[in-house]
Amino acid sequence: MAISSAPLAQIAKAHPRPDAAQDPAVVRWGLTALALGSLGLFIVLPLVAVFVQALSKGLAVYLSAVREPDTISAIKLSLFAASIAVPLNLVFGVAAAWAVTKFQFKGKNFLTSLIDIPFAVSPVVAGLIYVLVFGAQGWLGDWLSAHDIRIIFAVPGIVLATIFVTFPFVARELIPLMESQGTEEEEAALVLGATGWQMFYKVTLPNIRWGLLYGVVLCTARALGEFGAVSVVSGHIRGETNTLPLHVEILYNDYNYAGAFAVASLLSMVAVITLALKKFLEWKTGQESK
Amino acid sequence: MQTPFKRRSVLPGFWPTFGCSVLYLSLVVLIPLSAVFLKSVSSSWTHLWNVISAPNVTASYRLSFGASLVAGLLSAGIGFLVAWVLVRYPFPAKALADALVDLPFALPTAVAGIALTSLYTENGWLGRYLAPLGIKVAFTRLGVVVALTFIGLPFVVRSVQPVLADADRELEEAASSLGATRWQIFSRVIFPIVRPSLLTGFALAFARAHWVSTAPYFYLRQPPHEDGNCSAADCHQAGTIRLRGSHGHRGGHADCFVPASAGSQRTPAAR
Repeated sequence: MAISSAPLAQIAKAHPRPDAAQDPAVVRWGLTALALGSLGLFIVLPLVAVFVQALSKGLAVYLSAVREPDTISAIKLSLFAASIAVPLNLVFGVAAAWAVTKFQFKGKNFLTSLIDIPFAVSPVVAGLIYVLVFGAQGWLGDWLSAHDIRIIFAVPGIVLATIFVTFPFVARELIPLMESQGTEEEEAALVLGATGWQMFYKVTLPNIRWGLLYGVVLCTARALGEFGAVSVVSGHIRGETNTLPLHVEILYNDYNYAGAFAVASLLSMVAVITLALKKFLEWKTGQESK
Repeated sequence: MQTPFKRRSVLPGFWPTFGCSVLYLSLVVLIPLSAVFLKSVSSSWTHLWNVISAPNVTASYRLSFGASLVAGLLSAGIGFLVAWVLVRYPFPAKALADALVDLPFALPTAVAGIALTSLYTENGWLGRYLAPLGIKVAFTRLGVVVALTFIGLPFVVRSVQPVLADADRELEEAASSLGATRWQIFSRVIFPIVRPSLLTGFALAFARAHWVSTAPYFYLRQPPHEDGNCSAADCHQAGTIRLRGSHGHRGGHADCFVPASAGSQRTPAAR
């Protein structure tokens, strides 16, 4: 009697063997619900709360809070500090990554660790160190007041503090990326007769562009949202030395909750856009590496 | 022959880039940072010790370290759960959940502070359910822990996720074929693989929680008579108030010196 495989296949389908590496469905869905619930509770809810509170008194109040002169100058100051910090750190990041990843020299790892210092230092300390150097009792304090240059409690101090806290972002992003890409393509370009700059623009830059953009996005988001370091150096002078996060604090302390949340919602929108850009750039990098 | 500083290479541009990097690094980071250490060292040891061991400062350390520890453990637990679910189980809108995990990283701490405060005050969306149970969250230590958990969560998830994703399924199948139950597979095969990354995530969350004082800063402003000062916030107040004054500024940066050195010592371990 011939044994056909069809009944066997039917029997197998009727009694599915549990996958050895699969958890039971109850466990799976239970854990998923718990995880999503925690995410919702800890992360989504605060974000939603910001927008709901901002619009709680209606759209008109929201728009007028955002258009207030102090808020506008806070926006301008935040953008100004970011517009200086990000390009400087971008140039530094590319230069440092080039030196560290394409060459072998003594002290390479030490230099990489030094670059990470602003990441390790508390933001409040970051602000404090600039006060110690440029403040009235600081090292340069006498020289600065003799020349009537104000750094602390004025815009230059805020820009300096922002540069410090966003210092490593681009470099940290580029170094592993360029390390993994190696030097062969650049050397090939040189062999084929490219000059140094041609090699950089036509070979190196296209390879690192998504990582570079990623670093710039992180750098900008941090520059706009930095609170601790800027708070120490700024003096909180409304309309002059207030960035957006500081302005949130001032409005909140004035019990102007609708205003505080309105400004906070602006920062939240920046955060959400940053996340979307991050995801997009990650996807792009994943595509390129295929 | 003595090994040279730099190995020979055909690629151009080493000295300009190296020089610029070191110059920029020194100007922006190293020289100002050394100011903190030098100024602290210049005051006498007894003065330094008096400042560090003042009662309000030690109370602030206790709050800061204690809250960060609890928050680190909480984030480790929740973060591990979230990473597990993200890596292993299918569900709709997974990419959205994955992107949202990074939100505490992207959201400015000031915004996070006021958002969490508004949720947990007594007529807040969550506070109104907790108040009848007698649980006060806003303006208390519990609130600080919640805020620090929020901040630490992405560190744990992002540390554990890649390691969990790389863990070999074949090991689990082998264990299963040898007769292990699911729990045994988890505790004896999978967990030991991800345990180092979980510890790394916990360390990062703990470190970050300890020095991100600005979100809890909002929680602690209102009731002034509790000894509820985060150490960096206390330093902020002490630092700025005394710095604006004409004397005693060394006290301000002396008690910042301790968190700074603690912070910089912690990162090599956290790597």
